[in-house]
Amino acid sequence: MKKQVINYMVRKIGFEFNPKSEIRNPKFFRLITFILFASIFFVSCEKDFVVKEQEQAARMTINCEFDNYSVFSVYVTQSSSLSGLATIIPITNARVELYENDSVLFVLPWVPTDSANTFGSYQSTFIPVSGRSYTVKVTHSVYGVATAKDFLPSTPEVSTYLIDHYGNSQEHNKVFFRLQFHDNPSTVDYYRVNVYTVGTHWVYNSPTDSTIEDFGTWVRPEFISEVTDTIRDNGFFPLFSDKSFNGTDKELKILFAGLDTSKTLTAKVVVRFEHVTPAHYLYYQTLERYHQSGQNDEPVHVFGNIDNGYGIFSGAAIYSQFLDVK
Amino acid sequence: MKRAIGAIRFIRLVPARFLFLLLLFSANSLSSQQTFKVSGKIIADDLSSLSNASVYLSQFSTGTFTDSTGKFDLKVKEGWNEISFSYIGFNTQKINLFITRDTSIQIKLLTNLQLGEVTIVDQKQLLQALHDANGTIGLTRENFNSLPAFLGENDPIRAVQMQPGVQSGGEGSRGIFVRGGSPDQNLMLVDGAPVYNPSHVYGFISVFNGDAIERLDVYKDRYPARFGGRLCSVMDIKMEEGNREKVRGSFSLGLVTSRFHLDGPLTKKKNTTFSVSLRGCYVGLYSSPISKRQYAKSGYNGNIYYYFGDANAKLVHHFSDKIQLQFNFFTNNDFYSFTRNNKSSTVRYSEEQSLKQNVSWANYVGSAALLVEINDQWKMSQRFSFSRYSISNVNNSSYQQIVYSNNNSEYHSFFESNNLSYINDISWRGDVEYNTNNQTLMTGAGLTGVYFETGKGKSKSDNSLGGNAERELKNPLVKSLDAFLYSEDEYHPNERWLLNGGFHARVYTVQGKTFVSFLPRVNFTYNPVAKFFLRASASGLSQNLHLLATASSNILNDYWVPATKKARPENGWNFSGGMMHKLPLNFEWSIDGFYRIMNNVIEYKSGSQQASVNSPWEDQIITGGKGRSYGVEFYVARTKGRVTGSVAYTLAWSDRQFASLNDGKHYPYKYDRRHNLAVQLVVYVGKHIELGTSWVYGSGNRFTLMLQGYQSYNSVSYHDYEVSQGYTNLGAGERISVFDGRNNYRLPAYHHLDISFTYRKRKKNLDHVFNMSIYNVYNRFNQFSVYSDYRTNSDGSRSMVFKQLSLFPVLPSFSYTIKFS
Repeated sequence: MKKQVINYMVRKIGFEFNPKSEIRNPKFFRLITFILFASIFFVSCEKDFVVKEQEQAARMTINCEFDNYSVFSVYVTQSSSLSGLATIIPITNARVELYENDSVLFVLPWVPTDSANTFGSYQSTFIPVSGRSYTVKVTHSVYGVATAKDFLPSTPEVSTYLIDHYGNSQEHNKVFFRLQFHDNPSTVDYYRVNVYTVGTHWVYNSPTDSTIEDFGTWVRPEFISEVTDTIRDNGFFPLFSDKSFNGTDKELKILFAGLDTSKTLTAKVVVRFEHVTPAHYLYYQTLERYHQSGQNDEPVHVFGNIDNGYGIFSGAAIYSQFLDVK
Repeated sequence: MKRAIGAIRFIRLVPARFLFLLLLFSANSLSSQQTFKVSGKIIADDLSSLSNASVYLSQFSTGTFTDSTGKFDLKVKEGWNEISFSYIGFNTQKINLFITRDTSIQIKLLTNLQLGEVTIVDQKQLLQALHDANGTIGLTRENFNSLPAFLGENDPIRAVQMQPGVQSGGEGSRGIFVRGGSPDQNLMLVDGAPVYNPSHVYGFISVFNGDAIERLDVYKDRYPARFGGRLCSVMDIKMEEGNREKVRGSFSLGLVTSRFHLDGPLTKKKNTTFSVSLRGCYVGLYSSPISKRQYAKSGYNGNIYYYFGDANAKLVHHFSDKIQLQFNFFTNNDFYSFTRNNKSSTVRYSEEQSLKQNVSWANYVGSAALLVEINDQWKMSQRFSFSRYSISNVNNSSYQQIVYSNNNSEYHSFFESNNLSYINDISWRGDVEYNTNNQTLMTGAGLTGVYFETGKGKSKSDNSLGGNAERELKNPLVKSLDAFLYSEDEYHPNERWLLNGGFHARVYTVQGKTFVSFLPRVNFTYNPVAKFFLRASASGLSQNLHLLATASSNILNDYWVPATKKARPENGWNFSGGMMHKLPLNFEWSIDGFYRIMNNVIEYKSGSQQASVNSPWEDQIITGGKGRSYGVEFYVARTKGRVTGSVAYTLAWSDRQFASLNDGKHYPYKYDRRHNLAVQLVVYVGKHIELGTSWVYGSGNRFTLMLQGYQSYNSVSYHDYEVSQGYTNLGAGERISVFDGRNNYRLPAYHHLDISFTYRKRKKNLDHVFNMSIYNVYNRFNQFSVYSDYRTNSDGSRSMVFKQLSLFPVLPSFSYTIKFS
């Protein structure tokens, strides 16, 4: 068969090769041209790239942001291959130990969120205390042991916490808020501001059926005062450092959109001012950079403080009040 | 101050015998009487001078080449010396000389071409690169031409990449990579003027036209003090000066490129010569229909054009045998254009997209030099040069429009940008050389003014949501002044030792700040037994500019930026040592080890974008990085004969460390290629035919590959909230892609086999050369880039896949060249 093909090509293209007479037949050049163009036209240079996935196995993911207002809630899930489907897979059979100042405090039980046990977290029954460090140790038969450590910072020393001006609807309900706090001179501190508005309003279900319902809205605050190293959690809540005011009493003026009180029964404003740990700040700093990067940019490594795992375990001490507006 | 202390510490470490090398002008009185200079000229039987002829001292395995006028200088020991003279197409001549003083000779080589229908006789000798005992590698046009051609081009840079410790960056990468360094750390000089971007598109052909090059020297083991300004290597390229006796030339027609070369005397007195080389690439003629066809297959309307041209010219006027004035000019211009449009529609919407990219880049290099040989002992030269490299993006744009069918609402976005980056460099340098029987003293100084403009441009965007925006990006124009002073002494105390030492000092001023570097250089070659050499060197190095290159493979995303207050000048040390043995039958082998440290290297920050796109480049970098590379090179070759070849293997490590990157840990450099092997074989078959083959293998480049993903805190906490509220149809939230460390993944190895067939015939004073080459014979798909994409599964879900793009499949090519004189 091979011979037949070769003979056919020789007849068609007329290529003869006689080493003794060397290359004299001009049809030789036709063959070269044919091969050349055929190879360029018909060879595609794109193909799937097979990655040896076993080189990076799945690990435990631990996510916990603890504060002085709520009990510990440790989410333990498993990471997944990027070539697989993106789903949240909880790990429900891990042993989660909590240490306070390096002493075992609790073994946290798994608490399902719903009755079908589709999701949940490992929860404590107590609230963390400022100034103490906490370590979580998660042991699993498949993924081994993952640990993380952080502390709960001191609650911010807030001396002023008030609304300077609450604009009406002609002023687009702009809220000018003022907060003054004392910064610790001996440490590099990071802060975070979350703003949300809550209230009640009438909900008209039908012409004859109306109810009063609670509602709440997150609000994106803008700083009027100058702060440095500002980043945002998901483009929303700002975090900053004390670099420009270390050790002083800092006055922070904030502007945000309030509720249109003409359309609510009650309205409150909550400015949650948080003193966060460096790990907390670094996580959101790198996460913001991660969100902003494109496919062709340098890849971003999102900060995590879980040994032998992924995720974040960080503390935030919160100062907040409800300010009645209506 | 620290630098000065470093230098003093270094000086304390070196043996006393090297110290006096630094006291250059006092060393002259210590000269020995055992070494003499043999100088002379090699001419052909028609009395024309032969440039680049080989002059070889047999018993010491050292040699040199003749210059453009056929002259040479060779140092020999007192007594009997066997010297051989050879040139392609001529019979080799050997003579035995008894030397008792400096001697001048003239050698006439007889052609081995027969008259009438002339054919090259069997005595033809092929030559491999000349590896000097002190580590310098010399390449001539013969070496380039004996390698298999790629798309009809015998590229000098590819010949360099066949040498140990030198590698290409892989498929489509630009420049050369020497011993774990980056491409900007190699000083490429064309007749003394620097060239910044040595590559045409995708790096597949260098900007250096082999026809225009007379000689190329590579310094990577040792750094003579006369060179400075880079951390890794020096490629000193000398352009063809032109034949003094007769006009000669060549014309080559290839599949994607054509070349023309002409050189010879310009005046009747034959004291002025010229050399002109032109080259054009018309790959766009093919790329346009091929790309249209490929895009059409994928449902797009797209097109890729690419053209380049380069030109070299040199004019040399000989006022006398001892004084000459040279003018040299070199330029390349490249243009790349890419467009892609597509329209698609679903039940819910119709979409229209278009992308356009136009990139052009160019080098302009010119120099003027006055070379004066005052007498047998004194030489001096003055050189002025200019070099400009520019790259511009013109009307790069993207457009997207979506029209929703349910309410005819429309969303559109448009982005267009124009930008220009350039580097202008104006230099002067003066050198003085003093020769005695056993010593060469060199000293000189230079001054360079450099203007940098990086990513100057405008962008315009318009979208349905954010409205119009116009931005102007103007990185500040940075002017710098770089002055240097050097002194070098090459001392040959006896037949066994060759010592070279000196210093190179640089003063760099930028943004009102001055950086001073004092860089000691020392190397020696020791010849304990016949034809066996030991060598070692230590060199302080610095460089006052950086190359910003993104990790992602893309077309031309490199930007030259100056060292500034923030991005301080890079500096480092190179230590090298090895041995070399010249064997009978023109075989030789060598082993060399190296260790290099680099300070103040820079990198893009994680997540940063190209310098020209958004914010000033200084805001997008991290500085103060450290690098190190170390390894061993092995080299075996047959350098001369009807069958020549070489095997060069390098085992190497290269890494980087930045305090704010990769958790401060060392990470592998992108070009950390553990194994690098280059094999070539050239065989002269019969009267007319030359066969060549080469195989290149390199471990894959390093690459940051994200393989695992995990949910962010916000994702899981919100998921928890949704579950608690009894929501159904829950999403997976945000998944953060993660990698274990920068450059965590090694791509598959890069390798390809190339073969060539060359047929030469001389008829009626014309040399006909037909070359056919096949690049990548076994069609290896080497990675140009790896990127993620999404695949729709049978159940409608989507999952991520990785795709690789390769540039060069099996590529046959041919060229036909006519040489005339």
